[in-house]
Amino acid sequence: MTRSLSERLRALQASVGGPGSTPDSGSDGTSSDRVGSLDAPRSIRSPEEVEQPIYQSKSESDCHAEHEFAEEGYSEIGQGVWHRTLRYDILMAHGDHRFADLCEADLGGLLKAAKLSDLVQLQAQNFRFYDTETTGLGTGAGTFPFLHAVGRFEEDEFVVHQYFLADYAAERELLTVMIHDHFPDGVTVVTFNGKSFDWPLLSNRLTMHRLEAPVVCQLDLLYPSRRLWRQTLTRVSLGAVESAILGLERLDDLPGKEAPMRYFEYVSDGILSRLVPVFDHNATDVCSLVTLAGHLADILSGRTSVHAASEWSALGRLYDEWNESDLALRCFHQAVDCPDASWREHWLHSLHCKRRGDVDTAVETWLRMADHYPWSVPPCVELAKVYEHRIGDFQAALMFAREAKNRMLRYSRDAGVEGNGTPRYKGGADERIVSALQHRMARIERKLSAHSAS
Amino acid sequence: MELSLLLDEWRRTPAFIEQVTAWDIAPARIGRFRETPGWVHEDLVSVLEKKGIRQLYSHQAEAVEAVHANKDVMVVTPTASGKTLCYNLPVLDAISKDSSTRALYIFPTKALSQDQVAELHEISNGLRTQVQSYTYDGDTPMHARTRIREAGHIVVTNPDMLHAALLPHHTKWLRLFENLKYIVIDEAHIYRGVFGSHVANVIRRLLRICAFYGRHPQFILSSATVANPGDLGRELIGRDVEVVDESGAPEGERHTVLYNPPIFAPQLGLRKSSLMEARRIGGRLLKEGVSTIHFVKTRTQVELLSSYLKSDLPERLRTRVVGYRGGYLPHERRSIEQRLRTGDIQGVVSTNALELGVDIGSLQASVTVGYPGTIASIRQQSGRAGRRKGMSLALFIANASALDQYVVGHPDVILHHSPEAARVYPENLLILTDHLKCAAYELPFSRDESFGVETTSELLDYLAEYRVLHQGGDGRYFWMSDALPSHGVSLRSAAQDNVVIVDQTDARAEIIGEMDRFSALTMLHEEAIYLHQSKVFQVERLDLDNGKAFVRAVNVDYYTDAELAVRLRVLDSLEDKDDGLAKHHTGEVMVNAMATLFKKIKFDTHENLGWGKIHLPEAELHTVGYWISWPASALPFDNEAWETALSGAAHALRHAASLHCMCAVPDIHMAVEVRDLLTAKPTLYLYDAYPGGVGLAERVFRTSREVLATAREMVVNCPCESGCPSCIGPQAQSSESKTEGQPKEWVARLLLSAVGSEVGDAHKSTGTEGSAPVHSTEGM
Repeated sequence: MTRSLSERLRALQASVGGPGSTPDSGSDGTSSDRVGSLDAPRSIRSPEEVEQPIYQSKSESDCHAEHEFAEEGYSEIGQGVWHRTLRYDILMAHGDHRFADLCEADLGGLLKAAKLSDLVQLQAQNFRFYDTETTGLGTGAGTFPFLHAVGRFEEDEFVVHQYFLADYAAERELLTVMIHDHFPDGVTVVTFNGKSFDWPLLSNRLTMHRLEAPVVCQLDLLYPSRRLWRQTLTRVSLGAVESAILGLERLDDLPGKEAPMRYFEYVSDGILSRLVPVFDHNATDVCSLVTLAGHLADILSGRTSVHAASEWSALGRLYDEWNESDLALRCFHQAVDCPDASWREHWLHSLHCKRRGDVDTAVETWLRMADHYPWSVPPCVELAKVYEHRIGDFQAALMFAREAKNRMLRYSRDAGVEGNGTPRYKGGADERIVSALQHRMARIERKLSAHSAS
Repeated sequence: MELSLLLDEWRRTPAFIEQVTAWDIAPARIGRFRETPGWVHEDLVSVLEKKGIRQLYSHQAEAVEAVHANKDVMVVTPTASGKTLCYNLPVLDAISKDSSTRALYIFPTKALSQDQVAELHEISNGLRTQVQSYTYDGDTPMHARTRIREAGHIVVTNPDMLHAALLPHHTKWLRLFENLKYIVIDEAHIYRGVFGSHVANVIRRLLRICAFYGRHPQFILSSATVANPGDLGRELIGRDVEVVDESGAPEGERHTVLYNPPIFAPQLGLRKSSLMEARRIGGRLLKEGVSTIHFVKTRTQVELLSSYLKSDLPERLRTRVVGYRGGYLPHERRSIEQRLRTGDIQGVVSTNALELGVDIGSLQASVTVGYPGTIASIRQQSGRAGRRKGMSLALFIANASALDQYVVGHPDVILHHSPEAARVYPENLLILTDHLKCAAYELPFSRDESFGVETTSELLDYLAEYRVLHQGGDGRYFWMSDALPSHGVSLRSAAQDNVVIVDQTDARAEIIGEMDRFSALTMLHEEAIYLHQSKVFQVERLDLDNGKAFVRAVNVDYYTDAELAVRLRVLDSLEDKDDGLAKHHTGEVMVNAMATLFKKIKFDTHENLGWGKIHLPEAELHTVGYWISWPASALPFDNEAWETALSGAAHALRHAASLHCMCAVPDIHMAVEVRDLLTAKPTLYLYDAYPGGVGLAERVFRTSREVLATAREMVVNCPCESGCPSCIGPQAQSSESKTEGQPKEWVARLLLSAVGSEVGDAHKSTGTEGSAPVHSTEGM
């Protein structure tokens, strides 16, 4: 009558889990949420089979594995740690750009955009392009990178070093070698979203193995990319930037989220072939970091001009933040001159003029905007302010305040339907703005009557 | 009028004193003091002196000395006896001596954490060492988190945060874990049952991580009074604890009065409403200027009673009476707490929200309206009145329920010997496995590592077999999934999601309750009548997929009783014993239940008004049970009498068990068989409502004599004549039985027959020996 522990557990799990109490070997592994909850075993293997450690002796299957790795250019540099190098001539093109572009670029703007101090050594030779493939998207202690790629310039080549963790037990060795070979203190780590993902994850791993983390600078390309392309790209991911900006089309690329599943398949079944696309994907990512960094540097140093109005505006705002007002103004000008200039470009341009004290240009722009965009409220509000306080034309001020209020009431429900980042007044904001306008109108009327009385 | 005069008056009033079942007077007690130990850092000594603390109470001294002697300590002393100093003193001392020291405080609720930090700041401000103490919970802003991880000497959090945020990200808390010296767990008695079993496993994970960083932190626990503080401590933290339970704090004279509202319909055993009695008595207290806190069971009652009290009071006092409950905004609650401390508020009506240590100063009287679910709660609520000096009153007004009636008839359980044992059962397979997964995510398991149980490696293999873990080349098991295991595990909910009960009577739907899925089958099927706080609702729709039952208030004079086709199968009888005429067992059971149809039954006459069909899937529950079987010849009952007696006994036992196991009644289910499928004997089953069991039924097996005695008393002492819904549960009417006597007698006889004059032998059968030897005890 007494049942084994696993029998009991299985029955219990089945009774609370509902479906999935039967083996489901056909699962494609996309239902990642179910894996954790145990209800859907992807396939059942006998425990004896599982208990066999994979790398205990050089058995036949090991020799086979070695052969497979060798075919992909990997060599085993420690038990369970595989390493390969991919070398590219720096004059080679990757998409529309060459690796060498970065070496020739002026990096000042890029470093500024990444909020790095001037103290960072500026040579691209000092950069380490870093990207990982991990067992999940979390940043907790149980998520780890199984594949690390470190790209660096070595003389006239761009070299990608890939480290693959074939056995979890070997992680400490992998990290020791990789940190020793590529991450001396003081290097600059170039990533895309690495500041909040790849690097913290690596730090976790070092802590888990009680290893010292190197002191490095972080150049995360996500932030400047977001500034420039948030308006044009629906999602600023490395893949989106590659195809839209860098002219790189990937063929047969593996969706990144599939990588963990393929790795889990590999560790349980030892089949390497399904991981090959992951290796390639990872290597391509690192190469793109180089061309993206080069392209960003060129844009930010003014060597390459951008095309879209929103890019010009974004540049203008960056220069503005760096207190390069003239450069900023030029960018805002460019933005409004673009054929695809929208409400937003005109608006940003006008605000910049206002900040510079160029009231005439600002007023001119607002008048044009009030005319062109008959639903648009903010230019009318600005005009009302200017006419009231600067120019002292209370009649005009009152007219624009009234117009703003009318527009507010008329268009508030669907304000900003034109898109293009037009500010949209939502819910409660409506009332606040309307009442502010009423307040303004009352004040102007008081001034008017005082004026006429005197 | 002074409280003492008012009490004198009540004592002379026959209408009052006749309803009082006990009036206990604990004389005033002076404090017992001891010198502050010499090892305490001088800065801390002078800060304490500035606060007027020149000496410690004896229990404080005892506790801090035990901590100093490297023991794990559990402090069990009444509310307001200065418990917090028992842990703040050693912790602040250690930080003063070595500023790298870290401590982790675990509180069950956010409100308590905030209170604690405020109190810590008060002391630590005077220290020369800058002591940083922070709460870390869901409300902590992101930008503050990094600083807390790095610089917090004392991190105050709750078990849920520990489980979901700290432990899975322990590498980011390096500084804390590398220097962790003390773990403080306040209100430890809250961690019992399912929640406690989860928390015990979270603590296993915590200790595992500490060990990884080379630390072996010491525990300082505090708890309300329970029957088994030492056991609770050990089960929670996996180590023996030194129990400190002799309070040295001074106490004023204290009157504890147990009041049972008068009966107005003797045949039915109906009593006056406890809430209305509270309105009368509490109103009088307030009118006489006695500061009073009322504890009621629900949020609605808070509003009701506070509005009654206000309307009864003279104008000038009305603004000085307030309600306090969950659902009020935090700043509202803070302001009420503040006004209570300063005495600006004279009367407050609260749910148990004010029961735990939130600092509200001391009031003169507490009125507990209805049994709040545990005796520890009653005691904590009474502790809100009367702190150091002056006379105080703790009044308990009973409801009509069997448990209320038992408690009001047994003043001893409140005053002296609580039968309540807070139990945790961290070995529940589902809970254990969930936390094993979380633990594997946090740190890989080595082959020979034990996670609280000997069977760890078997469980690891199981998880590896299901490809949740993978064994690396060095034999260690590591997490192999892209999911974060702690996300799927909530410490506070049952294994299966509960069904929440949504009241859509008003335009704004409101959640009024929660029920496990298994019970929902019979209680929340469509058209079922659901009784909630004596309001009648009808279920309009049961959405099992999304775990919601939609109800609407109705005005009908019937209730529903669903017929549940239950198949209960014993999977494994783990232990049995003979006692009295019966055989008692504990073991694993599987329950299959299918609700088939329901009857509509008229409230007073119990007439059958009709029936309807239920269309719901079968439910299955694997759990641990306790069952008693009798030979059919044990009592001279016919079939009907057996049936009535068994179900009545099961009803009473279930309530008695909830008292002894410190759990809610719905945590234990029951079933009866006049002819059991397996043994053909009359059998009564109690089983844990949680899959895998949480040790409740097992506890009943171990203490069956006490539980049976309590159950019998509940039945015998009920004022009804022949057995009422309160004591023996709803009975099938118009019994055909030819057996002599009344159902109430049958139940009492049956319960008595399962207790022998001598202790029966316990026969333990271990897993390898197979089933238990059968003893021929029939006809004894």
